[in-house]
Amino acid sequence: MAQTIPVTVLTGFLGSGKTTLLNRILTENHGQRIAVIENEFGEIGVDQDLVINADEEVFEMNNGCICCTVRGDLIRILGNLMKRRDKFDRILVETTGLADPGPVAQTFFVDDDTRESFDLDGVITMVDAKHAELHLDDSDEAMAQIAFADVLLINKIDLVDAEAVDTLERRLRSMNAMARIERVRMADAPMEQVLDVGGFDLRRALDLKPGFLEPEYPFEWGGVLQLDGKATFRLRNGPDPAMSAVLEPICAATPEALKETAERVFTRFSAPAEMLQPGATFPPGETVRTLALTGADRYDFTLAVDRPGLYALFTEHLPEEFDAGFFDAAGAKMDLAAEHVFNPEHEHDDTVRSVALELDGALDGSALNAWLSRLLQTQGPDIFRMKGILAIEGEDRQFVFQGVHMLFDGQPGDPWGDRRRSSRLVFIGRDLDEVELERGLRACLAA
Amino acid sequence: MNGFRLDHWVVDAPLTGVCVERGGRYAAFAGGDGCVRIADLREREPSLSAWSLTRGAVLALAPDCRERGFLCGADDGAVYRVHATDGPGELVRLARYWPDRLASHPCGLSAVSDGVRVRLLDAGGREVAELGGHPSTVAGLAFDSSGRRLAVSHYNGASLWSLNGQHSAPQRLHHRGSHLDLSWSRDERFVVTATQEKTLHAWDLVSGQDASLGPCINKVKSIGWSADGTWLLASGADTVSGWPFSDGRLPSPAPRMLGRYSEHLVARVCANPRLALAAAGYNDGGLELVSLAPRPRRRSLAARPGSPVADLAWSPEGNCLLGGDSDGRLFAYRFDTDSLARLARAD
Repeated sequence: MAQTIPVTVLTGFLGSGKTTLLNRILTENHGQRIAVIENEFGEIGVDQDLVINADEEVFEMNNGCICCTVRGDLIRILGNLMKRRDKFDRILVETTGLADPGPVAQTFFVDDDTRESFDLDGVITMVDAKHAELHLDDSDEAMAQIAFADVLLINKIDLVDAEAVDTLERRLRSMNAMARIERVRMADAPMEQVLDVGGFDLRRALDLKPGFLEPEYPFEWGGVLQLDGKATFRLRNGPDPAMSAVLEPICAATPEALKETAERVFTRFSAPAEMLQPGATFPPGETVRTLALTGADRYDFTLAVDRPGLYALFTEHLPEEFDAGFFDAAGAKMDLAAEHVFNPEHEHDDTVRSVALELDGALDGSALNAWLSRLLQTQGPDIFRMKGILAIEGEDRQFVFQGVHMLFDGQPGDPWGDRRRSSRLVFIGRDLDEVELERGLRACLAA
Repeated sequence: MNGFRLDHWVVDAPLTGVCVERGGRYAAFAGGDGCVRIADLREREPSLSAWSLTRGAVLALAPDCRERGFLCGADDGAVYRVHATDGPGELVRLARYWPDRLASHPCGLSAVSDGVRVRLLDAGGREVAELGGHPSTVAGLAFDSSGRRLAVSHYNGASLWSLNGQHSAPQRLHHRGSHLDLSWSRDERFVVTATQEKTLHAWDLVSGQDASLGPCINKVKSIGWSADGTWLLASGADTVSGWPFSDGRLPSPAPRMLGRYSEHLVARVCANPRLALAAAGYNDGGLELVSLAPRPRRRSLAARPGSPVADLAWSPEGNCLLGGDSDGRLFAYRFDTDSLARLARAD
């Protein structure tokens, strides 16, 4: 059996830097013969490479499934490439900025000849750091390109400030928890980041580790103050009659230090909090304090530290919502040495997001089958990608699967051995109901 | 039946197409190395004379409308007419697309796919018409027996162009999905396409009805009609699939399995143009003759393990069978007509 040829799909909005990346890949000295299938002839073929024009012809399958759309032109072009004596080492498919990567991916599930000779290696999506937010707000195609990606390259990061890139990355992460996210300047991604990704490789589905965002922080804001003795934290009436907060020493007055400290104090918020009435002293420490903010129009709390130094205050809401301020012992307004707003994802209510399910115990094979096929029949068009490692009752080996819309394939994976049997699934889709998905999967647990 | 002579050659290129010119004397083998190789079937031990057309692959091969000639579509965009002894000459060069579908008719017309369009050429290679407006890239081309119509397959069906010199709007045959290879019945009543979805689709031009046939196990890569026109034959299953068109109606979808089952799928099927038999090439390189008599018989010609049979062709007289596989093993069987006829009758 001849070796299959890997195919990399390159998507991204107009101006995101696809062509720059393509040029880089073609001109880099990697010794591979690459055929590029793109939607317009570009002047980029070098020596041993071939550039083929494609018209992105999509057809609907006749199987009654509205999401089963296939790129017939791709089947034809790949078929013709296989007729050559000098086969290519790799194929790159560049899509137009407005293309939905779905039909490209589905082509590799649907057509036997294509499957036999080619492996879909991965979907690489270029994201323009400057304009992506705009595109994501008003384009379904942009959403789909993010959702389908195995690798998201945030390009042109030198044109925006670091905070904007952080915000964008968080947004992308919330949409697609499975993709690897890289930051690049002039599409200068190292080859190994974009080639041999194995995004559709069932064997590699085994190391499925969705990069979910840290769970939502129980606080929205953190600020660093230089404290020596006592200071006053003064608030007015805000959206909530009470607000929890914690005070903690911190090593540096930077957003990075704040994020690190946030990880440390994170879990304290699940323990019972101590109620603080206005006028009370608020010391640093393990205990989370709930500040009572009702019945007056001004609430003062005394931040009191034994040792002078930098302290971080984390609050459940933004201080400006309570018109809050800090004052030293002499009554002078204090400046913050640093501050950071946590978990601002809720600013973007993207309909596309990732849902990960994890469930201990073995699943009943036929119940699972029924649930999955019902799910894909009803929500197939809204599910862009899915991957899973399943523990099936009576099977000694893991079952790994992956899919695109309604199409999926699966195979037995590693033996479970002594490992605890548990199933993990990740869906990337539109309007996914996490609670309902979890309930559906749970109902498949073997009795 | 030992009544045949076998010649075979090995070349360093996958076979991309094989055919015999209209005079029946010369066979051409198109290769993935850009060469077309020609054998004179009248020679006792024919050798191959190779003509190099392109650095890439020859994507399509068809007999020219004139004797001793072949049409070759190369992946540099050029269509060549290759004379069996005088060699190639460029007929037309496409700017943007691969000329990967070709057809010709002895009346003097040739058709070349050019993206969503078809270029219609006369015997001298001059363009007589450009047939456009197909909803997708052309996937199949076939003239009817009389040369009065050209059928073109594409997404969501096929288009029938009348070649009366006007080339007005074509008759559209509609059926959703991607339609690939295409074939006319010998009586011009039925048009059949192989679809992306492992089925065939047949239109009855007289009754206006249409029907899906199949599905087969695999995508159908070759279709054709038995010599008497009563059987539609297709590859794609573990035996030759056939549908009877004998009573002038569309058949029921399930195919008749002609002959024994094999553990390998039929990659190519090619009906003999004179006798009630067909050649079947398998995915493992196996080759068999299947009689289409009421009690079918099969005769194995090659049982060696190898790569999939890439193409098959009969000479117009039906006494030579040409073919090859994707590893460049080419063959020519020249049969004794009587023994072939006995197999067809299943004596």
